[in-house]
Amino acid sequence: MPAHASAAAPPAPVSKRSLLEVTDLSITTAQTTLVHPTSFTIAPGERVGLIGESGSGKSLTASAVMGLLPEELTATGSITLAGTEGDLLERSDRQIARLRGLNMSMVFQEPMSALNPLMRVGAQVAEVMRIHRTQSKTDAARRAIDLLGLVQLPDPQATARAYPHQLSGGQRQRVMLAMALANDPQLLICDEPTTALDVTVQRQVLDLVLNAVTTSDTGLLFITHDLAVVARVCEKVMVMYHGEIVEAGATEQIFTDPQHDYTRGLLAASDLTATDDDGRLFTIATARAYDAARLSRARFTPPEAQVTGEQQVATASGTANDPGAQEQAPLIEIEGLHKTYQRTKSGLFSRADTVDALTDVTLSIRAGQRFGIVGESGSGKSTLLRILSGLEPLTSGYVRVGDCEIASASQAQLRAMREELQIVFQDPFASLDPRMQVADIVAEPLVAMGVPAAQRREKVSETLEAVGLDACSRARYPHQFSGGQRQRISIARALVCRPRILVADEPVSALDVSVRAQVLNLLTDLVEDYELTLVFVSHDLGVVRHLCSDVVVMKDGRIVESGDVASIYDHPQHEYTASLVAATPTLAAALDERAG
Amino acid sequence: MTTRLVASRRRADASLVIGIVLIGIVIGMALVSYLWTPYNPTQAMPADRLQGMSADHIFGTDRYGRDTFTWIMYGARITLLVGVVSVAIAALIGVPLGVLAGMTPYGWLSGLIMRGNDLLLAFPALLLAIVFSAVFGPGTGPAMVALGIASIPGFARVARSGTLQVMSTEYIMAARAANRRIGPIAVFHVLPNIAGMIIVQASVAFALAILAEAGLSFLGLGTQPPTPSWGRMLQESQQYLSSHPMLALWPGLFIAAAVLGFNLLGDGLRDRFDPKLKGRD
Repeated sequence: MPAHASAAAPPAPVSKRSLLEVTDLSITTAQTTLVHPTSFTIAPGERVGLIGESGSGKSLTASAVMGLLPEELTATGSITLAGTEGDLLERSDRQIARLRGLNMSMVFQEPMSALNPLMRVGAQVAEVMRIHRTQSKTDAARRAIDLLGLVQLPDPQATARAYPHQLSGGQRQRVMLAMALANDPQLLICDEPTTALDVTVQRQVLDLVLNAVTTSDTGLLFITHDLAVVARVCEKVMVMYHGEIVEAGATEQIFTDPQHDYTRGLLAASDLTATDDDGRLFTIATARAYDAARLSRARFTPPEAQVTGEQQVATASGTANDPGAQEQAPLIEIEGLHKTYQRTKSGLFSRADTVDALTDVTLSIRAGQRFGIVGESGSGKSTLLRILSGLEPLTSGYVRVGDCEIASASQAQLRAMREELQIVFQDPFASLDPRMQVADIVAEPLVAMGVPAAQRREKVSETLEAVGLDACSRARYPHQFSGGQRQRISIARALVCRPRILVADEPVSALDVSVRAQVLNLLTDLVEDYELTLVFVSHDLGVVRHLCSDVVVMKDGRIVESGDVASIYDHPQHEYTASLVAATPTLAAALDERAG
Repeated sequence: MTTRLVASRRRADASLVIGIVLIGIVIGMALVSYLWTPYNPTQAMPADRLQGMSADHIFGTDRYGRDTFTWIMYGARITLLVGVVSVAIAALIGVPLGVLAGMTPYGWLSGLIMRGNDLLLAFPALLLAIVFSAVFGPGTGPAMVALGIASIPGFARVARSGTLQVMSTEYIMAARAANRRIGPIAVFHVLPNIAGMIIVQASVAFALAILAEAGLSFLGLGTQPPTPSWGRMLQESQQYLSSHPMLALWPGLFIAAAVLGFNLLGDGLRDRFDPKLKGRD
């Protein structure tokens, strides 16, 4: 650990003995070292954040503390927990299992798979107490209901009798939290507990965690990649990079006066309101010019001047019917769109029920516009995209893309339309066929258009270069690339046939912060170079704000508000938009809150 | 990877190796029989009839004095031929049908294919083979075709479920957005991604075909004299079961080894191809 880190930490009260002491912990496989010797301590009631990108070793560190490392990894060093004897690393699995759920407990990232689907949630919470015999059977059941109430689940009595599939993601994560808190552990480890949740739910869960640990004086080790979340929850932050803690200190210090280049880079890349001299987002590489102190200064003054400058609607796209007209006909027009899904019948005699995915959606997008669609999971934004690209039939309404009217178009017309409209998908790991070489993946739209092979090769090389990939990546397979590189492949595939419209479905939500900035910069450049009309779907308000000129906010299949980015974000009219804006974690807001 | 996965991988590797060794022995014998066998399989040597194991006849001789080891070697040929032909018939018909049904899951065609499939599945394989030998006369050919047809449903089901899985992925959505038609999507995206499952199914079907052929030959409905076949060896040894049990032991042992070999290969390959199925039976 760098020397300045301990110097910058707030002077710990002498009376407080440390709760968790990790000394020279290193984690190795037979071949490589995953975590280099790392030391840190957590005092009772202290809230420590561990941030880093995927593969930095932060989850491994937490697993080592819990004794949950996979067997082929070896951990050396020592870990001591107050109230227990000796070194945790020297305990057998049986011995350490006695501590898990009693002295220390953990909340995992994925609320969908962390609960037993065949057990009522009340019983699962009670089980934690029964295993450690801290409560009798009846007491455990009663306390389980109390705990479910403590994590603010509605009607704890009824919820205790529910099965996990009857609960939403946020509710399940609350149940997980209740289980973790059941035996009043001294140490709570949260591994990305809110990453899979919507922002409004995320905020509630974070508040709960914060509340729970402060009232019971529990030590918290909070692992996340999201700086804003850490700023909200933790008082101390450790930054992990390539298996090493490169910087540690008090939250305010780390986020306003970072010492290490990587911390500064991470900070700069996650700040979507800051751009460098060329109007581009900061990346780890360009972060030297980033002024970290602006966050503590900024009482949220959006750089509106430069934003409006960039976002002049491009007039020349060469395809407008009458270029002289002031009011150009919109490129995409949707009016009164409905989409209803038929659920499959659950029983022989039960009626098939219907789900309204989209209700009365109306919007229009002009050529050259950068149009954002914002909404949480289940808001119907992905369905809207699939209908727009003719991949899914609509139930009723009018949808026009270019001169193709989707509802009545023939397959041939839809094909012609899709040559103009291409999609970048959300998950860079699922959207590329694992058994295809990159060159074949990128060439796919051209093959479908019947472009001859020689020309295809040329265009593929050209496009790969445009998205910043080497020529030698052509013959490789998707699994040989990182997430960011895969998303570049995905973008190359979308752009290789020179579409007019680029539809991006959450293209950066699966990426690390530093990679996110790079991909967003790339998208910005390409949209300009290729004169694209961009339809950008995201749950992340910050990303949309950076990239788009206009935005619609969707909730439960309806558009609740639409307008230009600045007015929607700064003066939201609809209460849902307001709650979305308020719930979105930003570093500036989190630091503000700490300060006052 | 957790410990359980590592242990399971080792188990998978072990069954893969044992399976390959067993199948290798059978294939090796069949290949060598084309170049060399200890004796002529059809040459009867009445003086040497019903001998036990000896240096001259390592597996002994049968009631006509024919060398059992020579017959086992020749029998391996028929066993493999039946397996290859019936699996090929089943895969070539079953996989396209399954892929088609999987790619149009809600259409009438899919319903038709899968219900036809169920119908065929309900019909016992051996019964079909007996009907075939009644119509076309007993022989290796009709037996192979009948066994092939009877294994179509297995392939169609596996191909369909694999296709449904692949079709729900984002890369298929991407291919559709790239204007790929249904044919190229099937050939370039679906087939490569379900190939693993198909190979596993093939090795299991292979084992079943070997067993069924032995059964048919035992009943006199499969391979006809004078072609050597393991099933027929079993049948001929029947009346000597109490006096010369070794005559039944050798073909039985090799049938068991071949079937076990292909089943182990199938298990090993399944775990290799599909990590999600690890640890299941």
